[in-house]
Amino acid sequence: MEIINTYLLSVVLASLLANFVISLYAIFFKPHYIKKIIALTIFSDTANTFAIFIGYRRWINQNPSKVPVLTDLNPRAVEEFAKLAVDPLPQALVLTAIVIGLAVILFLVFLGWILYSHYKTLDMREIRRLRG
Amino acid sequence: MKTVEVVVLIILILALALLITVGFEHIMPSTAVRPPAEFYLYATYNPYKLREYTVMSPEAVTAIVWDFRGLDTLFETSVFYLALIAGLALTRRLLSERAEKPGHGLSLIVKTVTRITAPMIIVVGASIALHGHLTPGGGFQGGSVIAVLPMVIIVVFSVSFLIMRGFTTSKMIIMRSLGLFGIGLTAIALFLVSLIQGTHAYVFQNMIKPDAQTSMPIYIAGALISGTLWFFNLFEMFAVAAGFSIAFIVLMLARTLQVEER
Amino acid sequence: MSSLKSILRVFLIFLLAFAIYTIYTGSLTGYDIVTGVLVSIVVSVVFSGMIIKNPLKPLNAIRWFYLITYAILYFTYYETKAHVDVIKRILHPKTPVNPAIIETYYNANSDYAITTIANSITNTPGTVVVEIDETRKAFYIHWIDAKTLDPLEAKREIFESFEKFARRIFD
Repeated sequence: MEIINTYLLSVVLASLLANFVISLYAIFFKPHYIKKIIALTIFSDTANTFAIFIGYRRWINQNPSKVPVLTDLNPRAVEEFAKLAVDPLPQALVLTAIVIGLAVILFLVFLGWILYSHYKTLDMREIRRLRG
Repeated sequence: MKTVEVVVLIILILALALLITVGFEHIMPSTAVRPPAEFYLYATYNPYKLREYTVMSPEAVTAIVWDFRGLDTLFETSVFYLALIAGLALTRRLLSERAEKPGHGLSLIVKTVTRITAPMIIVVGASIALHGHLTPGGGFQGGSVIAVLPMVIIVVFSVSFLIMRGFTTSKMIIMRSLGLFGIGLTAIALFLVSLIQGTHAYVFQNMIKPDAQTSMPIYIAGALISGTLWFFNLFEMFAVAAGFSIAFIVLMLARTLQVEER
Repeated sequence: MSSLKSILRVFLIFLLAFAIYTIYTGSLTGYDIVTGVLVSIVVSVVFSGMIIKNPLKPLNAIRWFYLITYAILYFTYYETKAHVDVIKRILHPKTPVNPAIIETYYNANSDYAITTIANSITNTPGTVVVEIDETRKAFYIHWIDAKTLDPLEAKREIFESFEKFARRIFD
């Protein structure tokens, strides 16, 4: 039973790795600016999911691992919460990362608009040729 | 042809997963969490044993975001603000907003449904932000939900409609700045108070620390507000909602102008 | 009179906003009530002019009676009928579809009535309102099995009963 759980978690990990590879390929080799931005968002979302995945906690003796939110406020519930809840730190860092990623995307989109109004195209091959 | 590629990809992933299961089991999540996480989970709401380190918030993520690692979040907020300012600087020639005749927008059906859902979006966003220290959510999430409304209005009605109703970028920047001002003030509030009282406290301090005994109020009229967390969530909601609205408005104005130039 | 009406309007939106806030929050402690009331007051003052024009309509019990009857009838009878019809077409070996976009004319005045009719048509599988022309009062409906192209007959087939209820509720 344990080995099946590990295998299922490994599938998640392997899919995340595949996602990394695909999005990196798209960032480097797709010629269109918007497609590069889309690939970048996929890349950052994969990284965020990966962080959440690292913070997961296995079930202990068939006790489901908990969300890092306390629902009861008595001393016993606090002790049990500390034993069973998943890691809240990656979630908090991901929250920060999403905002910063969003800021970067926002800036890139504005930059793309300027790029378009200069060159009348967003195709990177064209822009490279026009410059050189 | 596409199906073959997809099937090959799936088989590759499953094989890689098998490899990881057999060879690298130690990198998988285990039944224990890392030591800092153990401390955060134990200290997030613990007035019983860790009175001098607790945040008094049942929500561990918000406790980390706005207290244990509060300075990170402060700088993150400023990064977002800087990106916004950079975007506005790049598109500054658009900012002479002319309130023209609003465009056609989508059909009557979509407009009517949007009119009904508009207050609901705001209310749900406010609920997420105001319960950020009790349930999952917080200022950023609530603000993003509220920022859905200007986006929907831009798509369904038009950007001129939004500007004619008074939601100009300059007003949004004022709201955003007020939110950021509130965040900054909350961050140094306890420091200022203890300066007046003659005791000492740290910047960004929330609850009592072993060597600084002043504390923000934990309860207001019997309701748990977890000191600074409630104020941070509230101000962050305004700041984020206004910030996103600016971005949408400027982007759509850019598009409108481009159509005119053609 | 008009000021009384606008106060009534604000109050109705306040009730809607507070109900949504409470349902979404899922608890009713003192903190929830106080914040909910404050948020709902702000929202209702901002949005009251946008949602309700005549505040006496939502206070009419007969309209509510028709609304509830319509909801029950729609979600049990009309939905089931349309679903069964589409399922038959999908499972049939020949997939007997005869799709077409037809023009029909509705007869309702208020925005809410028109929206109710259009959404009722779209929500039943097999028929979708693709476009609406307000000046000619016309719906353009994509129909999976266009039995007729005549506007009046198509209306009788698709949405005459929806329109009857919608006019009683909202007009």
